[in-house]
Amino acid sequence: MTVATRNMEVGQELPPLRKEITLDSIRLFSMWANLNIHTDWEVARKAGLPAPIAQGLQSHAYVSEMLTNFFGKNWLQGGKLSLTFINYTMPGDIITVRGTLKEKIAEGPVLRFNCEVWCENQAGQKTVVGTASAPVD
Amino acid sequence: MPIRAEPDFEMMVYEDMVVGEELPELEVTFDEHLQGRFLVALKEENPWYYSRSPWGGPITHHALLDDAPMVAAMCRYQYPFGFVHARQETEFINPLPLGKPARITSRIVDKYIKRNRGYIVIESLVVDEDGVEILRSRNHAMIDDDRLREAAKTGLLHVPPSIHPQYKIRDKRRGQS
Repeated sequence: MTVATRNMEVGQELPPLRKEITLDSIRLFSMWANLNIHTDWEVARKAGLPAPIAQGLQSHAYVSEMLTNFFGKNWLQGGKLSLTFINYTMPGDIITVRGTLKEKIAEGPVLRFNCEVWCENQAGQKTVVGTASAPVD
Repeated sequence: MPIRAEPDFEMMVYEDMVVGEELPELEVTFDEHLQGRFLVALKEENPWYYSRSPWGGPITHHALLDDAPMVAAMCRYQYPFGFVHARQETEFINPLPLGKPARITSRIVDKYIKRNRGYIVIESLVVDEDGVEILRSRNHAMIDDDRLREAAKTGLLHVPPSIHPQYKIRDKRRGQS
């Protein structure tokens, strides 16, 4: 599963991940039995939203899935992720998680990869932006 | 109809938040059933979460732990629509075996104004029952006090902790355990 190798070059793209967003997936992720902006159209509209919106952490999980695919077990034992949520994700959206290797930093015997990561929707609009890093064997 | 928060819960208003405040401590154990819902929602098919992982058996998906700062806040404060998750910082330290109890401690570590909006930063540390560090996260939440008060008038408030039955809550302020 791991794709990251020490000889990767800065600027190289990480293998992207694509996810289709449905209202069911948003509701399931929210895991809440009540009506709120993540689960119900009326409540979302009352709150001034065009539709129920996905929690930011749902995108966070997608980014982490891409990084688990890339870094393997090192992601869950040494990974660091910082994300800013800049646009809503709604039912019907198709989200693609992308990343680029920005630098390779030696930390003693360990090499840490610093990456730029983001999510974009089907219109090419970024919904989440941030940075990620993890050690590479 | 929208759920109303517990009437005796304080409202989370930016100007009243105090840096250094400890939030309720949580204990939680996630089982296969609970995790399964998350995995379906995420369309996550990695066998690490279902059967075998590099650490042995299945591990807990961190998405179940990432919202610890918000859950801790919800256990003390009304959680309004004016509360917007703006940024998340997470440090993955160790995986948590599925079914192993975890303890979560949280506190407010910063508050700041950006573009005329108030933000608070809640930091959580998740450890397992043996004290092994699992995950550290920081949640930057924007609190729009005006929008919050407007939402309160209409009852458009978020989720009371009673709907998170998987959590055991220990709140020193309320004397609950």
